Amino acid sequence: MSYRYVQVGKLLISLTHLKCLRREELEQWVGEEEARKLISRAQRHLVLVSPAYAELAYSGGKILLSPGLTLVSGLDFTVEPDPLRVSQQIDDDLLWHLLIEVPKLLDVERAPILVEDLDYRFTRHAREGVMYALDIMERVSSVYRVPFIVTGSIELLGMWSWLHTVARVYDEKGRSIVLVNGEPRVVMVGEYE
Amino acid sequence: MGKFGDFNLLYWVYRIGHGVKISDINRNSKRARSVVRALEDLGLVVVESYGRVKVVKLTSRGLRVYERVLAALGELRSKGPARESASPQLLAPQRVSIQEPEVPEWLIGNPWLKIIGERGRA
Repeated sequence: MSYRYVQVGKLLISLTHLKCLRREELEQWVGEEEARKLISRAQRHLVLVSPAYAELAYSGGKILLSPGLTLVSGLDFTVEPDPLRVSQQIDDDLLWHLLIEVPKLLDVERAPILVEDLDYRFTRHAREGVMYALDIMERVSSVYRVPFIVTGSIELLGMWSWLHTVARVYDEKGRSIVLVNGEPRVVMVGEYE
Repeated sequence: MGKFGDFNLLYWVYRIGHGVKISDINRNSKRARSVVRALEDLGLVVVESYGRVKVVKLTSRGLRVYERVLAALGELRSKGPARESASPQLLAPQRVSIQEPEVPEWLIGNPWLKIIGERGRA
């Protein structure tokens, strides 16, 4: 797939990548007038890619992930094909990586993206940071049509409208239940009694 | 009501967004054509050919519907006040021009937006 590139301030990015950026971000980088031109250029650009799917396997089942955001909380899993991992950065490095570096990687090769421990990746303004990171992921996922897999605590469940959720919870007897899209799928009787 | 319900049609407008190949609507070409025909009848999409590839794009009316769907999704995803009156006051209809999806509430005044802004500035 060939990409046409455009200069946005100090960045050289593809037109597909440009479609992932918000007006508010562009206005800060290049000013209102230039941002308006860039947005109109991005709107004229057509991205014709087929959606990429991934298979997430956990103990007791598996689920097919379509482009969008999936939350996995409290259990081990594997993803096929191998995802691009976002696991090192914190704070604005994480946001910058999701907004600028991940789309650049996707320009080269589309693959599922795995963002680990999202709610532990901000040392300050954690809620705002998590929401902003999720918003960036939603935009990138919708333009490049790839699934994003986000791991973190169960509190993330209510923070976004997730496409899929796979979460381990415990009932009052201490039994472990795996909820897939809110429905119980695997009950581990006596595991934690 | 025709073959597709209103929510089906809204879903397809959302899926088409800024344009998709007709084969991405459904691998079953008969089914894809039936969806496109229903949307065309409502003036929501046009089909353009790029060589052998047929692309379904939203018309200006389709884009208006798309923007409203995005605005509704934005509202759904934003955290509203804890309790709202069950019977909101009825207001006279107002003409509103929707340019693009509204900025989500949580992005307004978000300190990270400013930090990313500074980082990307030339």
